[in-house]
Amino acid sequence: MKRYSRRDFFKKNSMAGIGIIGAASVLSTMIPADVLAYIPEKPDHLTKISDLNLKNLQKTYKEALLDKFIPNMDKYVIDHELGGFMCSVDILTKKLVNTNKRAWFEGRGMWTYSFLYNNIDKNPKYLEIARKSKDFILKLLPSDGSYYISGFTKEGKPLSNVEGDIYGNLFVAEGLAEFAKATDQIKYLDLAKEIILKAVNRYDRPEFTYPYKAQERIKGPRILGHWMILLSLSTQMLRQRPDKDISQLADRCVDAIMNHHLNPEYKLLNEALAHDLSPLSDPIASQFGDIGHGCETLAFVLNYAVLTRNKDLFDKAAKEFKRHVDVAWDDVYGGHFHVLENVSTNTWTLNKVRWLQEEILIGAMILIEHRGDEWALNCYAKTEAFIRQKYVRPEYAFIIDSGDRKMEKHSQVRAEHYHFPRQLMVGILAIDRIIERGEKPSGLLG
Amino acid sequence: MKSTGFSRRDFLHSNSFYGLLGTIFLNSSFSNKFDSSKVAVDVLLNQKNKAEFIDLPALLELRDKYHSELFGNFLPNMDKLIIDHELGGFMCDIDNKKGKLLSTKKRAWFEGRGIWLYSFLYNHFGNDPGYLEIATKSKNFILKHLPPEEGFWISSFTKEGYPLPGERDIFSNLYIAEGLAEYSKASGEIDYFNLAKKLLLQCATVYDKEDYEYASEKSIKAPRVLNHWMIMLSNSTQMLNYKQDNEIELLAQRCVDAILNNHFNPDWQLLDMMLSHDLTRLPDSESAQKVSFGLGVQALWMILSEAVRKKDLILFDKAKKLFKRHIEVAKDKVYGGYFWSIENVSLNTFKLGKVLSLHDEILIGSLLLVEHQADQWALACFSETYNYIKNNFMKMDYVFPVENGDRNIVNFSDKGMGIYHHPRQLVLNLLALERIIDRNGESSNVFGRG
Repeated sequence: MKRYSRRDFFKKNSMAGIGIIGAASVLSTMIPADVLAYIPEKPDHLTKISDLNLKNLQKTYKEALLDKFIPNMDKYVIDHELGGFMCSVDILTKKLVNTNKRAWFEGRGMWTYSFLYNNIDKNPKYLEIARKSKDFILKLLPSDGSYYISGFTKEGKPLSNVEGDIYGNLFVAEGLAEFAKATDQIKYLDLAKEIILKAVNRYDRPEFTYPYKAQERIKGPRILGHWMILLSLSTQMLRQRPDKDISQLADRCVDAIMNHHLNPEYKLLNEALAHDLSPLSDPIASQFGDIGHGCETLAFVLNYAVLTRNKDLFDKAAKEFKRHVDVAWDDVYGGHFHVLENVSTNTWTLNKVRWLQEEILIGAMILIEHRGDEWALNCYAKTEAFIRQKYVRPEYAFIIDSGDRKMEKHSQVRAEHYHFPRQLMVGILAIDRIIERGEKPSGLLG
Repeated sequence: MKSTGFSRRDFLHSNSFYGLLGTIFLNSSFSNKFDSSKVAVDVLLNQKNKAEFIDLPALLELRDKYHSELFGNFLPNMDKLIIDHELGGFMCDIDNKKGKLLSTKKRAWFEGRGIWLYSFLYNHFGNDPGYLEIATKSKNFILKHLPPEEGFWISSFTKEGYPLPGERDIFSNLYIAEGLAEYSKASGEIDYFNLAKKLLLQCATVYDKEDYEYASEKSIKAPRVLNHWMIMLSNSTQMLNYKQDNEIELLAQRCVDAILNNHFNPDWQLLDMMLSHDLTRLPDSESAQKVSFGLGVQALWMILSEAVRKKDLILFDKAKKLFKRHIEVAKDKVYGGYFWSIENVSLNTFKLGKVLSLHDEILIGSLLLVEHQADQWALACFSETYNYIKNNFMKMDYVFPVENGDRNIVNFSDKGMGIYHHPRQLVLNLLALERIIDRNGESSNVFGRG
C-alpha cells in the first residue's frame, strides 16, 4: 500500500477525492471578517504593538474558540461514547463522511483539549474528552516500538496492517505530555518521553524510510518535518520539567534545522537530506522546499530560543522565518504558498492551506511579543486578514482547510482541530501577556 | 588584443561607481520593507529624521559617482567603440568583452535613441558641441531614409546606409521622433519638433487602424499594446515639457487613460501587456495572461513623470501605488533582482532571466518618488536595485554593463550594449540628484511638502 507524507495526506483528505465546492460569501462567521488586526483609523503600515487591535482580536478569538469551535466539535466530531475524534465532517452539510479515527488526530485532539483545560478554561468536560481519547489510542500503541497504524474504525479496529508514519506517535506523545500537565499525572509525561525517544531511535536507523518528494528516494533520510515536531514536543516537555535527554534532542533538532537543512545557496530549508545530514543530489529533492514546514519549523525554533533565552538563536531564526514567510507570499493574490516544488524554476504548488497561514501568525506573534517587531506586526495584520477573508464562512461548521490559489474552490471534508484552535489559544495567551506588559515588548531577548 | 575602451575592471577598481551605494546601502533589502527600509533611510536621512530631508554629503558623493560613470566611463567608450564619427550613427553590435565591433550594422531604433541621448546631453550638460555633432550626424544619416506618409522606417542599414532586410515596426518611428524632438531643442530648429510631432501623430493614426499589425503578436488583430502607449506617452510628456501643443496633450491623456483604466487588470492588479483593439480584455489565451514588468514599470514611471509635468497629485499617487505593486510582484525573492515578466499569471510562471533595462527603469521611478515625496519605500528600493546592478550586471573586463542573463546572471551574453535605458537612467538620475542637492536635500515642492 502506498504511504503518504503529511503533504500527501492533506491533499488526499481535503482537496482531492472528497469534493471541492465553490466559494460562498466572504463574510463573517466563526471569526467575523470585519474583526481584522488593524484598528480602522490606523494607517496601513503598523509600527508599534498598540497599532494592532489586540483586545478586540482576543475577544474574537475567544468567541471563535469557545462559542463556535468547541460546541461544533462536541456536536459533530467527538465520540463521547467510545472516545476519540472523527474528523471527516462535511463542514457544509455538517454530516460525518465516515467514522474513522487516526492516531494523528487522537494525539492532536488530546493536546487541544488538555491545552484548553490547562490554559483557557478548567472545564472538566474538556479533560474528560482528552482522557477518553487517551484511553482509546493508548490501547492501540504498538508494543514493539514501531509506529502507530495510521487509521482505525470507530471501535478501534485497525484499517490496515501497514505501519504509519512517525507523526502518529509524536502527536500522541504531544497529547500525553499536555494531558500529564492537566491531570498532574507524571506517568503520562514519562510515557510521552518514552514514545518520543523510541520514535527517534527508529528514525535514526539507516533503514528508516519515508516517502519524501524525490526522483529516487534513499533510505534513512533526514526530514525537516520530523525535526519540526520533535522540537515542538521537546520544547513543550522542557517547559514542564528539565530533562537532559529531551534537552539534547531539542539541541540536535535545532542543529539539524539551522545548520543542515538550511540550504546555503538559496537560503531556504530543504525538506529532505541524506542520513548524515549532507545535501541530497537528487534533482527533485535538492530543489524541493516545503515552505509551510519551513515557516512552522522556524516558529518552533523561535519558541525554543525563548525558552532557552538564546538571543543569537532567536535572531537567526527570526531572520530565516521572515525570509521564508516573505518568499512564500503570493504577491498577486495574497496568502502564502506552502510548497516550492523547484527553487530553480520557481515552480510553486499554487493551492493555499490554512494551517500555514496560522503557523505564520504564531511565529509573527512571537516576534511581536518579544521584540515588537515592525515586520511581524504587518505580517500578522495581513495574514490575519487573509484568513478571515478566505477561509471563514458563516454557514460552515468549521473553518475551511485549504483551497485553490484564489480560494474560489476549497476543500469541504475536514474538521480541523489542531492548527486552528492552537493558533487561537496561543494567540489569546500571548495577547494576555502583551496587554499585561502594557503592550511593550517582553525584553527577554534584548 | 585587449579592449580599446575602459574596462569594467578598471572602472570598478578605480572609480568604484557602485562602490558608494555598496557602502551607503550595505545589506539593505527593500523586500523586507518594514525593517530594511529603515537601514537605507537612516543613512540617507539626516538626524532630523524627517522624510523630506535627505542626507546631503551622501547625495553629493552619489552625484559624483553618477557623473564619473557617465562621463568617465560610458561616454568615452561610446566615443571609441560605438559612434561612427565619419558617416554618422551608432553601431551597437559589439562584443562587450573584447571591446570590438561584431558588425557595423546600424538600426533605426538605435539612431533615434542615440539622437535623443546626445541631444539630451547637449541640452542638460553644458551645451558641448561635440554631443550636438554626434546627434546631428546620426540625424542626417537616418533622415535620408524617411519613409513615405504613415510608413515605418527601414529597420536596419549597413554602415554606409544601405538598407538591410528586416521587419519594420512602429518603434523605429517613435524613437526617431523622440530623438528629433530633443534635437530640435538642442539645435533650436523648430522644424525637427514639427517633424517629430508629425511622426508621433502618424504612429497613433496607424496604431488606431483596424488592420494594424504588431510584429511581435501577429495572431491578434490590431492589438492594443502597453509599450505603444508607453513610448507615445514618453514622447508626449517630453514634447509638452518643451512646447505646449493641444494635439499632443490629448494624446498624452489618452495614453494615461489607456494604461491606468484599460490595461489595468482589476483581478490581478497589474497592467495587462495586451488588449483587444477596443481596449477590452483579450479572450482567454496566452497573451491575455501575460504581464511585462519591463514595460509596466517603465510605463508607470512615465506616468509619474507626466503627473509631475501636470502637477497632478492624484495621478502621481495612483501611478505610485501601481509602480510599487509591480516592483514588489516582479521581485525575485529567492535570488534578488527582478523578473522581466509573468508569462502566465494564473499559473504563476515567471520568465526567470534578468534584464538590465528593467532594473534601470526601477531606479528612475524610485528616484522620482524620492525626489518628489521623499518616499521611504522608494529610497530602500533604489538602494537595493542599485546594489543589485553593481553586483550582477557590472562584470569585470566588460566594457559596458551586460544587458541580460539568466536568473543569477551567471550565464549572460557577451554581445550587444545598451544605448538607451542605462544611459537614460544615468542622465535622468544625475539631474534628479542635482535638483535634490540644489534644494539642500529637500523633496520637491511640486505637490507641496505637506
